[in-house]
Parts: sequence; structure tokens; C-alpha cells
Amino acid sequence: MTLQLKEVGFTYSRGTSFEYEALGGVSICLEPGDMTLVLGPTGSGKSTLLRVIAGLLRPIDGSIEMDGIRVDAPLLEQGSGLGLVFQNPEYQLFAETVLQDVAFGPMNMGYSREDASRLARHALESVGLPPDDFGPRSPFAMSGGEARRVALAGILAMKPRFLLLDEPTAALDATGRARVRSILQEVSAECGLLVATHDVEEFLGIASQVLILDQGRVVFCGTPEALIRDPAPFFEAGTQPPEILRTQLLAKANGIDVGEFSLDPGTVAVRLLAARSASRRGTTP
Amino acid sequence: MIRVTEVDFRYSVPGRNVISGLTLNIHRGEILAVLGANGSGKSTLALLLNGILRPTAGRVEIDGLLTTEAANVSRIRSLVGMVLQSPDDQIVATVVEEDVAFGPENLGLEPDEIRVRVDAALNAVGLTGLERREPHLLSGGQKQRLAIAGILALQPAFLVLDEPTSMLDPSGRRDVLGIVEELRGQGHGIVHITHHIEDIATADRVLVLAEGAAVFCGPPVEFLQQNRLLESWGLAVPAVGSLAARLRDRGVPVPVTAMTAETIVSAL
Repeated sequence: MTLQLKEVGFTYSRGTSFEYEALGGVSICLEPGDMTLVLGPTGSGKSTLLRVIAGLLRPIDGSIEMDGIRVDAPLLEQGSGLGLVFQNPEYQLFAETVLQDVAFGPMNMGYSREDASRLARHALESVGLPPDDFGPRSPFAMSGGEARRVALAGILAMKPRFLLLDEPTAALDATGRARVRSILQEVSAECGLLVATHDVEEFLGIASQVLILDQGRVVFCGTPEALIRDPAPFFEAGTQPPEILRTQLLAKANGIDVGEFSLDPGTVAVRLLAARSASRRGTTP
Repeated sequence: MIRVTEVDFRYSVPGRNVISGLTLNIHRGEILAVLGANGSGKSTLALLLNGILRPTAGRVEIDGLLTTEAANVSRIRSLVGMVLQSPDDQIVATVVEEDVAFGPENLGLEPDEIRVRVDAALNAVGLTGLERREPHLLSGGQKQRLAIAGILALQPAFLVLDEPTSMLDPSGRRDVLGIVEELRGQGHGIVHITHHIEDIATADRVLVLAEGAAVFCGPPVEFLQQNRLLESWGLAVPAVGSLAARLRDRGVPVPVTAMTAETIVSAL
């Protein structure tokens, strides 16, 4: 099962004075088991890309294919198994209880009440909210982190094969962000994930593919390892790499040879100290 | 000055205190960063500061005006500007510049003055050039900037910013922090609620809330020395902070507040 974008482009308000091109020539391929990050400055087209893939916006150029077959509105396509999690998804919670809210999706897919409830309980379990405890509660009486996970469970209960997430960790505290990350890491074993995020430092370590957008164009598409080795595309896109990478770049520019870049503070500290003493030895007569 | 004195707040009676026993002063010309886990009471505190919520017990005064006195409300609202967590909750117009003009228009200002304020506010947040864009076509980060511009145009003495950078990339975050610093320089008092510990580097004081109570209030340097407590407060130091701490342990003179590449590399 693959989801493929070929040279996809999108322009808002075409034919009006508000017209502007938000995406152009974007090609990517998603498969279950992958986690693809979409990075780029605000306004670079991340959310537009997610909406185009979901079929909420129809691409003006290019095509979207599932297993080689062209689809117009993937989210609506029967059996496409595509899920979309918007920014602040907890705003969409609406039911009286958490269990009803999470079961709403499967019910709409035609599952019986029992099956929907079973899927909902399983989904709540997988986001770390034990259904016996959280199921009967009101979705409006939860902390921000809990509400975010209920919203995620509502999508996971529909067993998506592809999941598009827009800023899934925004406005969460450190504990909440770590929880959501580990949930997504688990989900990605069976599901193709596309994550638009600004938490670059935290997601780079668990992603399998990275896409960097600038003004709707792809400036980088490759592995996180390649991007860590050479963070130049961040600058090309008018943004910056995580501060720990920028520190190593700056050290290198100042003649401190840190060798290969890393995201791990321990590793970086050891390399910086070694390089520092080497350069001092070199300069002392 | 904003003076918060022994404030308790709960949303329903009976119910638990969302804010309990909080005492705090916020001065003009200072940045107070507020940290805390989700549900610790940060956003509730924000709403108490301009009288949207009123304390269950204790007092909140802005330049001596009690928020519980109905007669003070409009004066307080013009003194304390509020940028809410989700920009979608406070964008009202269908065109960017009209959204920024909404506040000044309601103050009854002259059109020329409104034009000046709108342009200055959009320029301050880096949205110049997007005056005629429809707000719903802006990105999440651009909407956050627009929400800030809408409040800047009102020229309040105090600004309360509830996670103004949650949808911004690192450069966008730095820009907003720059705006905040500039506002401090112009004499505004700023309450900056955030989940990003990096953001406190420019703050004068840091307040940490846990279950509605102040568990720490002091300068950033002292805050960062509490590294053993951070986790219990639901906070995490970014990788660059942890790198700085490791280098410091090995004798490199990296300042305690070092959160940027520049401060670390210059200490090497």
C-alpha cells in the first residue's frame, strides 16, 4: 500500500486579487511503517499539503495515487484508510463521554455499537488513557494533554493506514509531548504517518523521512541522518536547525572540529571537549 | 503595576482550586515568564489578570484598580492586552489589516491614527505585505502574529501572551521573542506563558505554577539551577540546555542561562 504525490500544486483564491500559490511541484511517497516529517517556516505550505493529501483541497496541478491508482479525494475514498488530525484537534471533541467521542468514528464507518465500543476502548488503551477510568468522563473536563490524546484515539479507533497530523504536540507540556511522540512511534509500525511539526529536535530522532518546504516548494527530501550530517536545507528554507545542531555548525565555523554531528547532548559534549583540547594543543607552542 | 494578592480561583463551587494562594507583582518594563505543566493554572492566571475571570478569594489590582469592581473593567481592559492561546479564537475580521484595526476603531481613534497604528503593529510582527490577505488563509504561525498585532495596535501598558509561539518555527519564535524584548524596552510589562524553556532566556523573572500554586518565582539563573526539580514540575530542558550543563560539569565556563549556539561556542 503506497500513497504517492506526483508534482502536486495548489493555489488559493485562484482568479481573484487574493490569489497566491501555496504549493508547487511536490512529490512524495508514503508507506505504512514510515514516519515522514514535514518541516518549514510558518506559511511554507505544511498545512496546505496535509489538506491537499486528505482531499479537503483539490490539487490544481499533479496527481495523488494510491497503489498506482489516481484518487481525487483520498479522505472520502472508500477504504483508503486515511486519517487527518488537525491543529488543536481537541477543539473537535463533542460527545458527552470520552468513550462515545472515540466510538463516533467507527460507528459512522458502519461498525456495530459493540464493535465500535471495542475499537474505542482499544484506541484509548493505546494512547495511555485506561478506558474504565477515562471512558465515562466528560471530554471537556480533561487537561490539555489528555484531551489531545482523546482526539488522537478518536482517529486511531478508525484503524487508519495513513495518518496526517498537523502540529500534534503544539501547546503540550514536556510530558504530554513525550507521550504523543511515543504513541505516534508505536502507531507508525502499521501506519504511514505524515507529521507537520515545529518540534524538529524531538521528532528528528524517530522519523524515517524528512521533507522541508519553503514557499510551497520542496527544498529537501531525504533521511533524518542526511539532514543531521548536513543541516544546510534548514537555512535554504529560511528557518533554522535545532539549536543543538546549530551549536555544532557554529563550533565548526570557529575551527572546532566536532566531526560528525549528533542530536545527543552527551555525545556532542564529549566531541566538543575533545576537539577543544585538540585545537588548544595545536595552538600552544 | 499588576498586583496579585493571595488569590484563589475555582471554576465551580464546590470544586478544586485551579489557582491557590497566589501572590505576585508584575511591573512595567519587565518580562515575567510563566511555566508549568498542562492544567497547572497558567491560562487561568492569564484570564484573571484583565478581569475576564475574577478571583474566588484575594485581590487582583491593575494600577490600583480592583478587577472585581465593575466600574474598573473597561479601564483595566485597555491597560492589559491579552493574546489568547489559539489565534483563531480572537481573529474577527475578513481582511488582515481590518482585523488589526478592529481594536483601535472601537477606541474611537481618528482614521489617520488607526492607519499609523495598524502599519506599525503589522510591521512589528513581520506581516507587512499581507495587509489584504484573508486571515483564514494565513498559516498557524502567521495567525499567531496577527493576534499579537491586533493587541499591539491597542498600545496596552501590559501584555499577557498565552503561548504566542506554539505554532512558530525557530526563526519565528526568535522574532516573537525579539518583539517581546522590544516591547519591554518601550516600557510595557509582559507576562509570557510558554512551554519552551528556551524562551525564558530573555525574561527578568520566571514563575513556575504547579496545581495552581507558585512553586518557584525568581530570576532565570536561579530557575535553571533547579534542574533536579524541573521534571517534577512537568518541564524538560531542551537538548542545547542539557549540552550546556554537561560542558559546565566538565569545567567549561558556560553561563547557566546559555540556551543558544552563540553563548555555548563563545565559552569554548
